[in-house]
Amino acid sequence: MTDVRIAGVGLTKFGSHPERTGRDLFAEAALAAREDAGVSRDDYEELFYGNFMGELAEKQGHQGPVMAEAAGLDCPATRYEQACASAGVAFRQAVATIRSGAADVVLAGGMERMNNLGTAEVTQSLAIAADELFEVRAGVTFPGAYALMARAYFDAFGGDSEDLAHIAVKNHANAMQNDYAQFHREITVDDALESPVVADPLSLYDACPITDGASAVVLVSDDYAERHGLDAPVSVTGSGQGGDKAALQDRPHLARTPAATKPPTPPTQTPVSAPTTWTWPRSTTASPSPRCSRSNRSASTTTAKVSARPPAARRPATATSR
Amino acid sequence: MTDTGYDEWLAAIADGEGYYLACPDGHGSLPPRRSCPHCGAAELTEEPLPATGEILTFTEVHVPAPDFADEAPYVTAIASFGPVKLTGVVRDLPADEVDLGTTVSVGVDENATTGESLLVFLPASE
Repeated sequence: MTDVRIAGVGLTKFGSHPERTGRDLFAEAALAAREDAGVSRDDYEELFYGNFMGELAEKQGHQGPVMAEAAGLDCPATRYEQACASAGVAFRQAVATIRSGAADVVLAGGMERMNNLGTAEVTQSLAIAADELFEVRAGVTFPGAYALMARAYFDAFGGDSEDLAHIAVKNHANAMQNDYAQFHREITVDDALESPVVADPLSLYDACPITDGASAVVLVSDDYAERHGLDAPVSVTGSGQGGDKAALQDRPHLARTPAATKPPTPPTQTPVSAPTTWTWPRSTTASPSPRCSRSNRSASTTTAKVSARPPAARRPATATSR
Repeated sequence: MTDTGYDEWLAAIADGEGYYLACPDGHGSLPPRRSCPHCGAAELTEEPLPATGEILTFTEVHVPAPDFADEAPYVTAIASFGPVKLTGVVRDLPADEVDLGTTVSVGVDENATTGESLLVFLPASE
């Protein structure tokens, strides 16, 4: 089983781009990733693309081929929809495809366009990731679903709105260092606590912003990277996906998210001896859907582990153990 | 729109004859189901829904979807009724009197925005 290297990455600035089409957003990210990778156009064998609410935002289904064209590629293109984990799942499938030997070069990524809709329409669009019969018809919105979990969490483990406010303060502070972040503005705990209530106990700064954006990565096999002398020092050393019941009411625990902590699923985890390993736990790195940039309520979560190493490093012997 | 299985279940609740589906291992679920979501068993029987339930969590929603524009702010809660949990809108109880552990009964009312049937929780005394 071959290892998977990240040959190139591309990202739009996340934010409000209501005038930009989804295909233009993805094109920006995909072309940046392709340029970063320097891989010949003819070598791309697949596009795995994640998108959640394209039918609602742009009345556009069948987005795979639309986005392959936007990326300037002529290859099979498949869209993955898995709520906020959509692009994370696309990434995971790209890793699995290369590991299996079925492809050497895959473009993976995602796009979400939301700000061309109003807040009420976005609220409705995001809510379709909840159970339509048993949750949406009972008024569950996405902030509402998290609010149900937050209150259950406070009851089970303690904590209150002020604790959540510190998370928003920290997130805004981190964004100051990130050119691609939606907001470059520090806030205080009082700002967060005094902001309008969205779904009690969650208020404005506890809820994710409505965001437009796209991202893409070029993934290649170890062998391809070496044959073409690519500068691709980062390997994907593991990928996992966890599941849970779709509706909160069908889950045994309202205050826990076991899907987010399930271990990586074989065969996409390969032990690698690498100088540095860190976890990359948020599928939202490749999917700007607001719902998931906080701890994951989703019934499906994805994680990826990556490690850095010299570009020409040979695959360690332990990597073949699975 | 007709949703066979779900519609009959909601109508039964409106008639005060609510039920849930039980598998041989005692797991509860709600229709339409052809197998138990917890263990996969295919033998499901209808069992009477307990008359009252207990609120496990709730939220007062201030920013609604368009289908709830005329309801907002409204309280949505999850309540346990024996082996199943239900999600509904709390009626006839001020938001500041809703709490974890509050005992409720379940019924069906009308969504003020859409006019469609809405699962509701009503205050109940033990």
